[in-house]
Amino acid sequence: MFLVSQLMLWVAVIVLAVAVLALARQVGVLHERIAPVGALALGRGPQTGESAPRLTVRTLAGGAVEIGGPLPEGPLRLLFFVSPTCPICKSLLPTVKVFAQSERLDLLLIGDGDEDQQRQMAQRHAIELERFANAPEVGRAFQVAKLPYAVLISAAGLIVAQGLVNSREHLESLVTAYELGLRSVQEYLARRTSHSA
Amino acid sequence: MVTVDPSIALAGRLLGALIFAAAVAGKIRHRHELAGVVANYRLLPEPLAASAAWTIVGLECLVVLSLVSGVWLAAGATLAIVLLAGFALAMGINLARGRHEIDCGCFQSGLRQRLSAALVARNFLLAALLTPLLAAPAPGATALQWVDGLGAGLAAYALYQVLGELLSLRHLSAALRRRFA
Repeated sequence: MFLVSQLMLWVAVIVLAVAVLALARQVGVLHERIAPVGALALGRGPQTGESAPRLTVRTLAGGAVEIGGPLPEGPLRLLFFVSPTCPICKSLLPTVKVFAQSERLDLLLIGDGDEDQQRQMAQRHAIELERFANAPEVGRAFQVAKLPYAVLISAAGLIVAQGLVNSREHLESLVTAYELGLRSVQEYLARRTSHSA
Repeated sequence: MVTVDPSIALAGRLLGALIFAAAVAGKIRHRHELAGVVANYRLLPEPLAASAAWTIVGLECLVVLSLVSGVWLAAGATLAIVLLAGFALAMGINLARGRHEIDCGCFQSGLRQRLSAALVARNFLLAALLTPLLAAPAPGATALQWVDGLGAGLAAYALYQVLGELLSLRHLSAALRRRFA
């Protein structure tokens, strides 16, 4: 009688310990998956809040587009830096297209590399050639070190958010940052921890 | 002669055997990195690292055999405590040198784990849990003592795993905080 109850208690203790172990492992997995919850600002080049470098680039369609300075149309412009050799860029392109439409952003893809490959990429993803410019100088002006990189520019020509993006969540974080008036996910987290502290 | 309750002796034997068996399995699974990990501690001349690593594995096997079979139990327990204290000392020396970043070589759960004071403390805690084995267990364990001993040993091993997992989580969340600082 006593023996059986003791046995049951030990079984319960062991099962609970294993459950805690499984939970701890799961937390570890989550840590690795969700670590960057927003576009990661890399802290180089023109900073958020500054005015965007003014450049005129030629699109794949042949027209000229001015980057920086007041926008002719739409409230916000999204610069999306891509390369035909970057696999994440390609997988993210359809998302970027839909996202720019739903958020009413003036999307401009900035490529760096072989123009023919970029034309193929634009065709494959049904992107209008007026929205695609092969302009390595833009990447240099914004000091883009890692792709895919996105920069959100306000109607007044200011950089309102920017960062390394790997998912729709990251793209959304740019617009959210603009709406909240924050510069980066880093600043958001810092503000949140200082509120809770 | 000092004797110890058979349930405590059983729990200690089971806990020690499981921990050292897991350590041996982990080291064999990562046998290609083993010599490198030992060399990274920078306590021995580099050419000796590989043989030292396999000596450690051999000694750990002896501990497992002794604790499982109950043969030369006091000697097996002493060896286990010496090994744990030796690892703690090696980690302590490297912590004092400021080399926190090296892999501890614990090979738990496949995650690289860096050195920390908590790992040193964990080793001393384990050594303390094994000290009852140095005394001879009182003969004639009852069924209740068997249940208690095995239950406590298994539970302690599961909790030990939880501790290891929580320690590596602490590193992960510290890294996350730094990233967004």
